[in-house]
Amino acid sequence: MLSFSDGFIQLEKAQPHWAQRVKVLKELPHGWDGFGAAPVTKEAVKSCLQILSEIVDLPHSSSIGRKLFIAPLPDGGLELDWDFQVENDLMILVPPEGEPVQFLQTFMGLSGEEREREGILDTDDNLANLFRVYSY
Amino acid sequence: MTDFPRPLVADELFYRAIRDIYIKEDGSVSPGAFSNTTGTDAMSVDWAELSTAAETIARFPQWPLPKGVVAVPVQRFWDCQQAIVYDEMPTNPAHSLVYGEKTGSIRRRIARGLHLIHLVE
Repeated sequence: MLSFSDGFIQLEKAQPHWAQRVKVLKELPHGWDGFGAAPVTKEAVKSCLQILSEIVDLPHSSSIGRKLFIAPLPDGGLELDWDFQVENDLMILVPPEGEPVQFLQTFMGLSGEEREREGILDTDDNLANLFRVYSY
Repeated sequence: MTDFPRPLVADELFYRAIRDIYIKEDGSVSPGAFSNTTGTDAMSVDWAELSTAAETIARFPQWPLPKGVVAVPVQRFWDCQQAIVYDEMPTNPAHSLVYGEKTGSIRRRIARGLHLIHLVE
């Protein structure tokens, strides 16, 4: 895994607006949500940087990146989510400990019903496979 | 906590005050905005019967980030197996609590299609 500073420097070069967003989130103070939320942990940021650095190397990474939104969670974790099309979403949840990273995919089944699939990243699946089911 | 003064109907609204950090460029709201309050199994909302969006946002602390408010139909909470309890407070007669586990899947289903209705910079 990349070190924290190496990961940040690499991301700043490849996707400066992602790096800027992560920087804002990692500087949130205690209680940032008005209800006692924990600051985003260093472990969560490091894990997030690792995920983003892998996304940079994927095919369609610029399209994927345009639909990415990174949000803090009150427990100190991070949530990465993408709205690709109506009812076609992907969410990656980074816990405050940095791992295990979970994913939640939502997509339309063959008969038009909404389906969900979830698991642990790098155990049940990897990033490239997660993005393969969506069109950009 | 008490019962609501009258039975809730499916199309009425609850206001949820959020930080601007959860608002996307198109005005839609990140699922993370619908997390339980730290250390509890519920999140706060205001019953629109007894509060306007402006009143809800005015009660929400300004520090440390800009804030906004989003309206959620009660049916959305019910569809996500959430229980809504009236929790009137001296300073906020509309205060209510949405109890239930807020997994990523549930947060996503609550957030889907909702947009910011008021922002204070």
